[in-house]
Amino acid sequence: VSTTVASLLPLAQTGVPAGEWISNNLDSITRRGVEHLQLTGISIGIGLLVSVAFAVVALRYRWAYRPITVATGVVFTIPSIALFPILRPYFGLTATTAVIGLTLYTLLFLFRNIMVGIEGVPPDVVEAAEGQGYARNRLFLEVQLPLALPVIIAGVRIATVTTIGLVTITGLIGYGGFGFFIFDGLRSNLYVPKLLVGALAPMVLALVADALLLLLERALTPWSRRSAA
Amino acid sequence: VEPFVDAFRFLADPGNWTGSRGVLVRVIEHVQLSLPPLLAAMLVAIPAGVLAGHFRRGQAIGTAVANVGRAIPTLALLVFGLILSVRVLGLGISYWPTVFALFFLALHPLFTNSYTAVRNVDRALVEAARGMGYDDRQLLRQIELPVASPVIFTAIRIAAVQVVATAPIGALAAGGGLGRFVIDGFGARNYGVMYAGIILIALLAVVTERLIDVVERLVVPEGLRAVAEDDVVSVCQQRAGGLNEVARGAELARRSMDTSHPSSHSPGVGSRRCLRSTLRARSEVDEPTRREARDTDRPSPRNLSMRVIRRSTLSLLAAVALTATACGGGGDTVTVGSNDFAESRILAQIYGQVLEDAGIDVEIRENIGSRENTFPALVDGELDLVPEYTGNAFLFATGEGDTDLRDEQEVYDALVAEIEGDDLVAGEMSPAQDVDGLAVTRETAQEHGLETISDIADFPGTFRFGGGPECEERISCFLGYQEVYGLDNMEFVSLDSGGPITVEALNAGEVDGANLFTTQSVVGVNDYVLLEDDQQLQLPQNIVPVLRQDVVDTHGEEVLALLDAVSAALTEEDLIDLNAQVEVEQREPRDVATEWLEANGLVG
Repeated sequence: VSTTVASLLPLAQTGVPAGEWISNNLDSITRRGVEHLQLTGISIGIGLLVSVAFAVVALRYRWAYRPITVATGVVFTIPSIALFPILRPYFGLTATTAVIGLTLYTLLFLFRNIMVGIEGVPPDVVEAAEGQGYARNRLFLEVQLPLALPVIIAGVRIATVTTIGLVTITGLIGYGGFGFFIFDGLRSNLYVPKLLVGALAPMVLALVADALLLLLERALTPWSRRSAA
Repeated sequence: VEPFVDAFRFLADPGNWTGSRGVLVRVIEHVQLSLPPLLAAMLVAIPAGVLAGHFRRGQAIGTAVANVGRAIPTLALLVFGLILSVRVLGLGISYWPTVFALFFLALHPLFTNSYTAVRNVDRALVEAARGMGYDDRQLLRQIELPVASPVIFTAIRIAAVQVVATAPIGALAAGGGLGRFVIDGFGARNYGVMYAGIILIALLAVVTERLIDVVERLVVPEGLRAVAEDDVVSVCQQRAGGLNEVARGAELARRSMDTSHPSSHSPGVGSRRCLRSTLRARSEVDEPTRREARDTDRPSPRNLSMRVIRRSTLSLLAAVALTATACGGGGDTVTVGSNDFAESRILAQIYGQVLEDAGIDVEIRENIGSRENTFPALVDGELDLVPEYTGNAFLFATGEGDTDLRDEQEVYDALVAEIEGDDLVAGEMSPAQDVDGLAVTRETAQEHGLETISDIADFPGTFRFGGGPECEERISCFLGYQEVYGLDNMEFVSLDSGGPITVEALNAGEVDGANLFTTQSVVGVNDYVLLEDDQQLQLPQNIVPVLRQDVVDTHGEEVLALLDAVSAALTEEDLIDLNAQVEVEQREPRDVATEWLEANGLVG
């Protein structure tokens, strides 16, 4: 297969061979990869903080649940190609624009899964813990949170995979992580190695991140492994 | 709020609705981009999904499609479409890449949901039908398809809305449709047009959803219709069936998200319906829990929440403050910006590296759109230094009116005087110039006897002229050809600023002429003819660094001395050679710049 692919790609191709371009530019590729991870990590981090805050508000004031869900859902319906342009007039061509946009997209998954996770803890478990004299904080930290964790991490997984894909779009405002190479390739005579690095590297990153988070989920929830076996 | 006001002003002007680039034409283009890939994907993915669901095979394929599908960025789909269309099939750049991308995009939700829909048809129903002697064909046609049809229609709705909402990415590859307003408005910093485009895309997505509702009403049997929405939920519930109590609610929501919004990395307007149903299902699940919480004397989550609120608000504030400072870039860093073409990127690297060599902290931000993007960014302080061209920078700073000035020094002096009010300064200008040119292929030039730009007046029919989005409103570009040359038979096609998309369009005959620049290597490589500017439309365009006064205040006059040395050493031959290294040999502007600086003894 690799030979057929290789024979197709150089069609009408100008510029150095792919291997040479990659080895010549390993450091810029690495730089963009680091940028990709940074944007993803910061956005997921802030997204988690905001979602936890939202979840706490929604647990405290039931009526707030629906507006928050609708709001995070509506944000998610904005096409990604439009979101960063929408934010541009207010935040400029800055990392702030990129991070705000990416964070907004994570809220739907994160908020929903935190809520579902915490509310999904069976009441009898909570009552049993109370009966054993667990104080509120301890109850939350040692019972509710651990039991909600698999669901929360499932949300983090979806949000992470989504965000890694969306980071490429921030190339519109001069960031983009690996996606920078897509925008660059579009302007460089459709130079295929650049385009492919820009397209494939985020996919690999997403699949690896997904697998790592799955491992994390398993490590944090040893009981589910036992019951599965 | 202002962008919205501008957007409604734009939409309220009937003049913006008609014409070859009006709203109506863009809407038609948008449909032309969206409908064929959607139909093609339906033809492929729905039968495949239905059959896989019927024979209960393809679980592995389904999971693989879902997982990989989720991990592919929409931009990557466009890349695959581009490579397939331009490099493999030779179908050109403006239409097919987007169509292929949207086709790939629609496959995943259609397949996954059709598969799930048929697979989740009540087993008892299927067993009963088998018992009555139904064969595969009858079972499919009379039981499974009708029962699954509401969910399949939901899948179509989701895919259609996603396709309509994603079609704008085509505008990145010279495609038409409503995305043009977004990308062109973005590139020209015309937020009104950009917001108008976004509003129109949202409207079109809603209309699409409604239309499919209407079709569904005509096709789906009445008895099943009432439960259509609940069916999506029951699918989610069934899939969550075997899970224990703790995970149930979560799994339900997550699964429903997986089936209803599979391409979750590419937000579109599609998820609303399943969101709604999921919400309803969730509130049903919640109700007993909540009642219980009220009835027992279990501590309400209230106090706990308050504590967590306080804590998380604090950490949130800390995080925001942290990012704000991180994004601010610090006071002393010099941010060098470049436009989105090779020469500007090389010059930005040259300026940046020469300052860095002198011990100044430099951040280089390449590829930030056109001057309409970078110049205001410089005025606002988003950028500190950009490579500019005297004539165009002057016209832009004065507000893009024309000028009678044609002398190099006069234009430079006028620029310096003009930008002073914005607290900007210019370094010395370089003798090297790069001027807007109108390029045609040699065949076009010979066939129609084109030598000067004025000759275009005799071109038979419409002369399609391609340029970057900003070219249309520039006096040095399309606007000048219309107003100064009076070429009424010229029509503007939005491409990129002398980049590969322009070259591709010119070679494919998708445009008759295009805006290229005199130092670009592609002109010589492709044997294009640059038509003579017989009416002296073009101003002198000497290369000049423009920077914020702050930079000089902070780092001293030495900054200007460093930049002036660069300007003095730079020649047009150098530029053509440097551009060729980046445009033809695909070398990085950074490396090319370093070598040039070293060869000229400007660093080290």
